[in-house]
Amino acid sequence: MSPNTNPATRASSKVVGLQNAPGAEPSIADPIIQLSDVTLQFGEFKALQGVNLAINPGEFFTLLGPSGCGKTSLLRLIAGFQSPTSGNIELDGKDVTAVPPHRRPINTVFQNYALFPHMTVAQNVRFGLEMLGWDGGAADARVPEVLSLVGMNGFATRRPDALSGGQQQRVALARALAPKPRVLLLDEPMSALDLKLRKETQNELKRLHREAGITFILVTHDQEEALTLSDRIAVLRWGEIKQVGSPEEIYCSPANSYVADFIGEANLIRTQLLGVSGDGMVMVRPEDISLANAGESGRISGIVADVRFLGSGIEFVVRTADGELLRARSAGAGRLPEFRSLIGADVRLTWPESAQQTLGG
Amino acid sequence: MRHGFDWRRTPGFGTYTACIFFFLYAPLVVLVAYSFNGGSLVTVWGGASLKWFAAVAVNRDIQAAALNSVIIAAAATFAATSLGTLAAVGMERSAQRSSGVMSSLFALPLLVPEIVTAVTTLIFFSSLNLRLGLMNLIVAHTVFCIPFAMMPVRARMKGLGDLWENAARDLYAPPFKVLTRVTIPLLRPAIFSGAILSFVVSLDDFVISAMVGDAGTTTLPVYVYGMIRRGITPEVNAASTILLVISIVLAAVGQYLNRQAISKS
Repeated sequence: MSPNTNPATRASSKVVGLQNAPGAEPSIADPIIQLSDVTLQFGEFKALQGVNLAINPGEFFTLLGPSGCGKTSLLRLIAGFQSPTSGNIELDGKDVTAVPPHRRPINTVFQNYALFPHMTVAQNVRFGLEMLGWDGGAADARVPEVLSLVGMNGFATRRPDALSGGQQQRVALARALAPKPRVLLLDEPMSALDLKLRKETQNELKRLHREAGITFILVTHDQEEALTLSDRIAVLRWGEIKQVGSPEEIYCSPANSYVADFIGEANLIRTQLLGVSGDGMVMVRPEDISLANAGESGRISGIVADVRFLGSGIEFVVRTADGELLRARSAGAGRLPEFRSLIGADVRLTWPESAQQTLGG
Repeated sequence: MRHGFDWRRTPGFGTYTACIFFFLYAPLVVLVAYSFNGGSLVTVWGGASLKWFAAVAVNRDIQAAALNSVIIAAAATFAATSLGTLAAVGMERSAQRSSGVMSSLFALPLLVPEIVTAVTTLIFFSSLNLRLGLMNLIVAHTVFCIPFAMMPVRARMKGLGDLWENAARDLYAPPFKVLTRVTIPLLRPAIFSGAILSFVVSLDDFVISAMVGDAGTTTLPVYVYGMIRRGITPEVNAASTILLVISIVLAAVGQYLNRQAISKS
């Protein structure tokens, strides 16, 4: 699926970057999308402030954060629906800040799918190809090709309102992939699906990403989804990027307490409590903390406030001297009665040095 | 169990409502009933008959007036719907969102007394010395039909949001293609509904048609008015009944399309 085999090559010369000459292929090291110092302001409200981001060709990149963190604004800027207040956006090294959405080789799977209700499934998928000026034969071949890619081949003549939510989502994916965009944007595509369908769709997205070989940018508030799917994740809060990294980096070495707290579960402990000098924070995941054995001194002591049964294990809630609640997980669900008797007892907690993460900010 | 105060349980409320409906619809019922009158007096029942409908059917003057009415209504509807739709799209989608003042300005023609509009139009045409026959009436009707054509389109436009238009832009559609391939098709029921509203309003118009029109451009309502002055026969009732039925059918179709448009969005 290299761009020079794209039948739209001639006709869509107005679309930036769709018509790369074979020799002018950007090297893998160059980012496909680069945001430099991007700020977006609505009156007094800063939706995004000073965002710098480089997204590599072919990667599955996720913008993760709670609602109102600016992740959807960022997606709208990349798609071209919105212009930044300041800063610029580059695609393949070309400045596209002022380029309207219909001239960017980027397609979007919208949160509510936004399938055209007055067109059939096939007409929806064909729309982008017609707008790009593909010739009829190439478009006729491409429509069933992408519909079978998402397993919707039998539905070509249906109207969107005759499809279930999951089917609509597949059609939206097919429609966005059909014009062979350089980048696919996914705006919380799974938020309207039930849990089981969401899991299936995650696998499906992973497969489509491999097969299409293009850059996927996903917006989500679901940290588990982000960890499962992404090559890299950007964690956002209040219009700022708090950390960019691989799922392992984000989970195991969060850059600050916000990321530590937002991704997975975390115990945040002030360094003073550990008898270490300085006024910082230390993060330890609950699964890394265990009760110290009789002889050990442990790293911190406290009183067991609660013992919870989690099914796969047991969680201790321990109140430290300054009133913080720490959580520690252990396997051995069978020993619940024994552990329950510890409520109210003084315990010492310990964890390996490597599990301890010193945080800035 | 005692109920709290409830308007619907006010004593006499039902009777009052019945009275209102009686005042509204009794004249229409009488008019329609007497169009089937076999006698030649409007007020004296002379047995059931369709003879006045037959009289209408062979009356050349009525036919000419009806033809004028339909030509004017069709042309004015087409012009008003085209202009009104574009105006509605422009108002809802322009970079500078339409202000309350703009909306009021577009709705004002609905509130201005029709006689004022009629006099102004007449003065306007005569000062330009514009004597184009039916064309004068078409222009005049187009003007007062525009707000009616616009109303449902604007409402639908608000309901649509920018979701589908953004999807089209995302799929490489330049602005004009967004309009023709996505916006207009999605607005179609509202455009039809506005067109039917315009058609009915134009068909029923009397004041402006009477003022602006001349000998060759008599419309059906103006002709019916002339019949009354020459002596009232049930033929007037029959002609009015036909006009009434056409209006009701068109209005009902318009309402139905509008409902569909609303329930779909």
